[in-house]
Amino acid sequence: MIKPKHTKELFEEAKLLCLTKEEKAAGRSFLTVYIKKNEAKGHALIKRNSFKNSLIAALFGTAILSIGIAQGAEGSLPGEILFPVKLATEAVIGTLIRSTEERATWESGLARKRLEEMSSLAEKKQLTPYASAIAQKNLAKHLINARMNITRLATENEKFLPRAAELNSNIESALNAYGKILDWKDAKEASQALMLKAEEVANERVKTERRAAPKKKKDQSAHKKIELDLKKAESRVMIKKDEAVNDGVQNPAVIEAESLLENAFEKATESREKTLKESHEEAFILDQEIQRNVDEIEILVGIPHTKKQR
Amino acid sequence: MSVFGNRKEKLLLKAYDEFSDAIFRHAYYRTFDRHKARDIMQEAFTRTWQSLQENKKIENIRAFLYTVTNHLIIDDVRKKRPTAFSDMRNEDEENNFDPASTAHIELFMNTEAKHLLEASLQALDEHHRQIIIMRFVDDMTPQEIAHVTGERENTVSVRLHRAIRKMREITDHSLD
Repeated sequence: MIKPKHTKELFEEAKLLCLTKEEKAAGRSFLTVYIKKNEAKGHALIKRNSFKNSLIAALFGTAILSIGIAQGAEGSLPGEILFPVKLATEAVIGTLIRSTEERATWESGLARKRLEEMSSLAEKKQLTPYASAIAQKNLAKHLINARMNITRLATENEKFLPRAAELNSNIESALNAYGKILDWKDAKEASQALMLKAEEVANERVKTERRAAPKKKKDQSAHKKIELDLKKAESRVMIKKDEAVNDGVQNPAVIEAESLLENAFEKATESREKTLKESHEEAFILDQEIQRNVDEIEILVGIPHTKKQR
Repeated sequence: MSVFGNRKEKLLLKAYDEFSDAIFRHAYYRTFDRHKARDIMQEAFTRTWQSLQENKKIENIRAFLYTVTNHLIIDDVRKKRPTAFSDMRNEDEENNFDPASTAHIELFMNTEAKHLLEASLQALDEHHRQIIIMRFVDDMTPQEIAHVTGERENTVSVRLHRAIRKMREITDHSLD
């Protein structure tokens, strides 16, 4: 017979009971989706019976009217008519953000938002290949931007290191949680790989930002590197496409990657023509765009296809 | 989402990060059902969001969450039949409670202790169980318990004293 413990010790042990990490993350994701679905459309912002407040009300009314469409678009999902308005609104808000920390937080939030949108669509069984492709393309963009700003934040000042680490961890948790909701194959490994890729791309872009455009002589090695990266990206896309075909599913990320690849090859041809005409600056700009396409392709091929056909 | 909506969202998510374990734990020791406890915890947070959306004034979100959880558990208790201790044991097996599994090994080092505690709590009536859990698991003061249950602080103190005495009879040990 086991000797009963002191009751106080029993209660101390009882306090150890908690949710598992997965349960907690899933609960948080559910709550986030719930919040998005149940947002209030209006708020009682202004008190009555005040001239000053009436004036504020009038000004506010004008402002609210002009952003009415943007607000209406807020709840839209990829593939819906107002979704581009939502993206445009986000872009406008993004231009107002100045500090690196706020930008890193903003981009991380957007990456999370894209995951939530995909999850909402999946819940409604409306995650069509088209909608998924749009969402994943934007996810890739925000992941890279978030990572770029987190890198800048971390290098800006040591005091931002904990915040940079926290933002990074938040993105990874979101990818993990949503990867499972979206039924990604090997969700955890895929999330880690995506994070590493976004980091790699972001670090490279931060370095490229500081590089000046060539005025006179074309940098041959840089252009060759870009063409090589493009060919590697093409191979990866083909491999991913074959994987999806073997599993009997469509991978919307690969479909989007193929489209980006086609675009990148067209730009590469144009870049070569510009070089021949001695328009080095224009060729450099095109090369940078090709590099961005390649980076996004790398991210997209890192996004796994779902295990089951939707 | 508007600026105000964003603030409310942040408030609720912060509350989730901080209090979800505590609310889940409270619900578990009131219902002895892990799945139900999770559902109650989730429902508590969604209802809190509804209240935030209705612009209800919530001065203390922790207390509010406990109040909502309490109401949900009371509703659940009114619906369900009493659970026998043997059923509770089977429930653990159904939930794959395995002391060796990673999910639970940090939770309870001693399975016998867990069952002893649960048996003790199970033997109390609902009012006494509620107050014991709030006092000794949730570490709430009598004042906080009074706020959550909507009772007077004196009433809570008296009930707590009776609950401790009852618990002592069951476990044969003294609570400090």
